[in-house]
Amino acid sequence: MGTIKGQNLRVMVGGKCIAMATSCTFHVSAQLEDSSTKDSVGDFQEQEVTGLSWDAQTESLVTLEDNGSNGELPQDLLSLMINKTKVTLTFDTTAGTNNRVGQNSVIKKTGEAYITDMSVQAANRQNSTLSVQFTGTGPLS
Amino acid sequence: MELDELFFNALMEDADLVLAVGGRIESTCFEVSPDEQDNTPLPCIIVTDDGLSNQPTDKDIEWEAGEDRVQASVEVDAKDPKQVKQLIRMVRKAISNYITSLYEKGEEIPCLQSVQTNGVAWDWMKPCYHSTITYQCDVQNDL
Repeated sequence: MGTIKGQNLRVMVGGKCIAMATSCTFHVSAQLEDSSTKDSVGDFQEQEVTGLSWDAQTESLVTLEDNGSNGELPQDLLSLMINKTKVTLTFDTTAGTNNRVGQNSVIKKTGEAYITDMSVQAANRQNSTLSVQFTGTGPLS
Repeated sequence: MELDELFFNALMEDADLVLAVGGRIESTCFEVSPDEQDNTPLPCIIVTDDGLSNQPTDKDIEWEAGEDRVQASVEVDAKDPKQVKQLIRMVRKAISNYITSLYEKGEEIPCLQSVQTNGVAWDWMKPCYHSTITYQCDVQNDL
């Protein structure tokens, strides 16, 4: 059975991949409310879904130039965060040149999000890394 | 330039070191046969290329990463352990001075990750005392 390798699943901002990404997480969760009553059977609680939320996180190496690959750079992401810009975020499989071309696969999800956290880690003699947190606002489609 | 070539140039540029080993600084990148290595009079220095490793570092990379982790060593052979240690110290200084001069000229230098020696040991085959100092560096490969 074929699996999807991590390099072929990417988060894109406005259709552009994060430059030099190393890892990403796409997370959807449901908020529940306890709807147990005296009529509930046994010890088990009953739950009702009252809301859904989603977020995404990316890890990448820090680069100041896109080297013609047209990826989102750290300085661009920081500007989006400071300007409180809502971004269109897409999670999709990729292939092709520099592994940046979205495939519109069955797994693809798109929604609007804000950048809610950014941090850079710079350890001696190691590649500097960037971590960006996106929090979804509104529905996923 | 390959790391072992860089080290060879660094050692050859140090007049005190060249004098101390009677000009016997060899490098495997210039095809020194094992026989020549074994029959070189003491003291002598041999620079060796110890290979490289490369791992794709991010999702944009389709094949090899643009940087290799490269290893090169300098072996010092001498008649007594004290001379081996003195020569190892001179080798370190020669390489350090050479790399610093490249940096000051604005040239690209390897990113040093580690330096290690294995201590002075006795080689009963040659026979001689010897020690090897190994440098591990990250180097742009321009692939």
